[in-house]
Order: sequence, then C-alpha cells, then structure tokens
Amino acid sequence: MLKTKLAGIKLKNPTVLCSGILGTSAAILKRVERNGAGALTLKSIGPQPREGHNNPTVIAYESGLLNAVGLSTPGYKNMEEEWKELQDIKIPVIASIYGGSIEEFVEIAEFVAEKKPSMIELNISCPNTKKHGQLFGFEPDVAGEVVSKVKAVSKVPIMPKLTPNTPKLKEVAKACEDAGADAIAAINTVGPGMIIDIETAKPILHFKTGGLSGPAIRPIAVRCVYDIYETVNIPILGMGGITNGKDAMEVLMAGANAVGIGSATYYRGIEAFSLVSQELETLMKEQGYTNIKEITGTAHE
Amino acid sequence: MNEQDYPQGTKIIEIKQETPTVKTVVFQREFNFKPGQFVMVWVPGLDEVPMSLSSKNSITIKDVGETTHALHAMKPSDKIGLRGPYGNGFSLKEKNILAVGGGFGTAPLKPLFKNTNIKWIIGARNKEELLFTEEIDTLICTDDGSKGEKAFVTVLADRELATGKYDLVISCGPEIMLKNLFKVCEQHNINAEFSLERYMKCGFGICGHCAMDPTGWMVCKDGPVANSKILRELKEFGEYTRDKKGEVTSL
Repeated sequence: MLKTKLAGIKLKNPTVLCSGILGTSAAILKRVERNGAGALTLKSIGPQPREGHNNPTVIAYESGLLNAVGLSTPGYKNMEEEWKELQDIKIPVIASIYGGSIEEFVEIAEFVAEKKPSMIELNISCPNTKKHGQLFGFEPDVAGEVVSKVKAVSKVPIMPKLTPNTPKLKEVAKACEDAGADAIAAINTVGPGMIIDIETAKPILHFKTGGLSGPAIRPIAVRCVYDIYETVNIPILGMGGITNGKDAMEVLMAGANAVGIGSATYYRGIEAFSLVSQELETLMKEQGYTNIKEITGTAHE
Repeated sequence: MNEQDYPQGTKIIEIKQETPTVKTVVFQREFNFKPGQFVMVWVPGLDEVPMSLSSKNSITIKDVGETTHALHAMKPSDKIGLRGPYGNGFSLKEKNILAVGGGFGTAPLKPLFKNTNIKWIIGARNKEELLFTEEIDTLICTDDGSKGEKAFVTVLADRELATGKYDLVISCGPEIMLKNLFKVCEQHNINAEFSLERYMKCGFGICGHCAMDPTGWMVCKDGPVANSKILRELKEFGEYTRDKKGEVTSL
C-alpha cells in the first residue's frame, strides 16, 4: 500500500531521510534503515575536507529548528570505508553532493556515480555558507547548467534539491527538468533566519544566520511542491516540516511522490520513519486510497 | 526535547581553581538533572561544547582547547549560554557500586558524592591533578606515586572487584583508561556504566555526528553513559573517533 517510485527507484514506503540529518556515517544510516525509512540520503559530500562552522550549529526554537552546520564533510575522496559499509544497506541510498563551482559538482558526481548510489542529489540550495550554496539554485540558467553537466557524466539518476528562497522557483524547476533532471527534491531550509540571546545580546548560531526547518516551514514546503508539480512532469521528493502521517499526506496531495523526513527526528526520535508510515497507512485506509500514486497531486484536481 | 533547546545566557557567579589545570565554573542557572547528564556550554562568539554537570549549577573543566581556555579565563559576572540537560545519566539500579574517576573525569561523578552505596577510587597523573579527593573518603592513586598508591586506577579496581563486594562499576575518564577498566570489569563479570565523549553538534540526536560504530549508538541522546552490553557492541570504543569533518581519527 505504501510503495512508491521516485525516478524509477522503488521505495517500500515514501519516507526518505533528508540530507544533513543523521547521515554522517554508515552506522547511523543503517540504524535509520532499521527504523523503517524507505530510502536514505547521505549528508552532502563536498570537494575537500571541511570542518563547517563552530557550534552552535543546530538549535531548536518554539516552532522549528535553525541550523548552520556549514557543509562539514570529510571530502569525497576520504570516504572509502563508509562506501564499503553502505553496501550492506538494502533500501535505496541517495548520495547528496555540493560544490563551490559547476566543475566541482561534475568532478564529485563523476566519482560518486561510480559508487552506484540509487540517485545523486545535487545540493544547490544550502543557505549556510558564503560560497557553496543556494547561489546555484537561485537562477534557472545556473541550476540548469549544473544539472546538464552532471547528467553528462552520471549514469545514476540526478535530483537537484531546490531552495524556496528564490522568487524564480517554478523557472528553476523547469530549467532542471529541461536539463535532464530525473526528479526534484524540495525544499531545502528557509530563510536564513537569526535568533539572538537577549542576555548576551549575541546571535546564537556561530554563523549568525541559519536555515529554518521543522513545523514552521511546512506551509512553505506545501506551496513550493504545489508550484513545482504544476510546472514539471518529473517526480518530486517533497520535504519541509513533515512530522506525522497527516503532514505526509498533505505534501503528497500537493504533488510529491515521496516525502523527506528530517526535523521530525527531533520531535519524534529516530522512530519517526515507521511512525509516519503507519499513520499515513491508517489515513489512506480511512480515506479510501489504495496506493500513494492515487494521492499525488490530488489537491490540483 | 527540552522546553527550550537553544542556549540561554546566564551569569557566572564563581570560579574555583581545583587543580593547576582544572577549574569549576559556577553559574546562576540551576538544572534539575540526573548525575551523568550534560549541558551544551556556549561561549558567545567562539564555540559551544558538551560538558557534564558537576552540580546543579556548575561544570568542572580542564583547560585542553580553545573553548575551555576561554572558560578558564572568565570572571564572575561574565556570561555564558547553556542548554540542556541532555543524555541519559547513570542508571544506578545496583546497590553496591564502585566509582572510578580518572583525571578530570571525576567531575561528572561528583554529584554522586552523597550516595552512600558507593566506594570511590580517584586517580590522576600526579598529586596536583587529583580532583575532589579532599571532599570524599576515597582510595587514591597517581601515575608518579606522588600521592596514594603508585598505580593506574585499573590496578586498584581489579583488587577491589576481587573482593566480590560489587555489582556495578561506574566511571568517567580518558577513553583508553575506560577501555582498560572495561576489560577488568569483564574479567570479574561485573556490569559497567561509563560516560563517553564524542564531537557533537546538536546534542539532541539529529545531526548524527556523535553516533558510534557499528550500531549508530548516539552519545548525546542514547548516552553519554553506556552500559556493558552497549560497550561490548561499540567497536570504536577505545579505538577511534570522528573529528569535526566527520573523518575517522584514532584516539
């Protein structure tokens, strides 16, 4: 009942671990697999070893989370052990990558495609560094160029992850599809935002600003997925504040074929994957749906 | 999840020099906590690091890096940010407990000084680095023999456990020491609860940085206290850790 497909990849259920959450080592990814995820996304892999920002990098506030981890990565060449360990994982593994230039995206994608992940996610939407981030996802022509050049070197399906922080979201999505993207992930974090500690009068995050996630951004995610669905024909991995089965159904109705689970692990623990799946299944039965495909895009009819 | 998972500024009210390299920072905010739990300590503009509570309103820290150095340089009325408490703490279900503190690893055990079911072993490199030994009736050892017995804590623990009087060993200290102490516990077939440490970002179980191989046991949320069953599973215990980049480095 919960089976779905994303760019030809079969998922036993629509819950996909979002990039940047619990994706730092094969050991923790296997634990997420044991907790019922339909697919896993690795933490974005970059060109060179990078420490990211000092802490605080991740904090939670009244209605969501704020993070500026700063793309910490061992670098794509220093992960042989992890790749080896990842071979034991039975569910689809999506490798997320980022670069500081289109050439770096291509270089990493070429290397990573050889490791045979089920899909490569292009992180063209991180708001938390000065140079490697959402710049690539702001303009349709730039996003399209990243996708087409990566597509040329990768036999693995390509899924750009889009930022909600551009007024040209639909145009970016269309450009990605035209450039050969096999699916679209949306959305990355919103903002950036800032929280100031009033005792010390200092912004709390070390990078000062950070991307918002969690329940606070769900309506933005729903709107973005809705807009993207109206614009493209490729499948959508919808994410942004989904914490229960009802949220998942909402994003599917907006047009997603699968849903990302990220901040939900803060609210519900690593069990979030199986919980969201169970709740979604119950809702589907109540409402008379027999498969995920029937739900996708119903809000547009 | 805590009511509030972002750091809140609080005033430092006292700084106590405990040893030449260890200070206790006492702050205004008080935590309702379980011994072994930790807080994330934010030094504005610098960094935020996990520290076990040595009382409801203090941390006891060794000057080992940039952030601890900054904390050591602070004065009363300076402000730091705190969030927590996080983690599981010691379960202390058993009645006859041997507590072993190595170096400033004695700090997270300090909240248990009032517990009368506990026999204590405190060790350090030399007599100057012995922590809190004046505050409690304890067996003492130093690496150089400058006070107490000239031996590692594992030697004293081995001898104590041979008496058959104990059913739990709790400890905190350098991980190599913990690894050796764990061997002693296993030889005597006695359950252990050890407080572990890994690089952390969120502190509440979502970034995955402190997850240990091969089970993905998270020091911040599942720990920091691991029992014997967990310790047997953790192949990286006493062997390696992951740095800020996520790269494996040996201990």
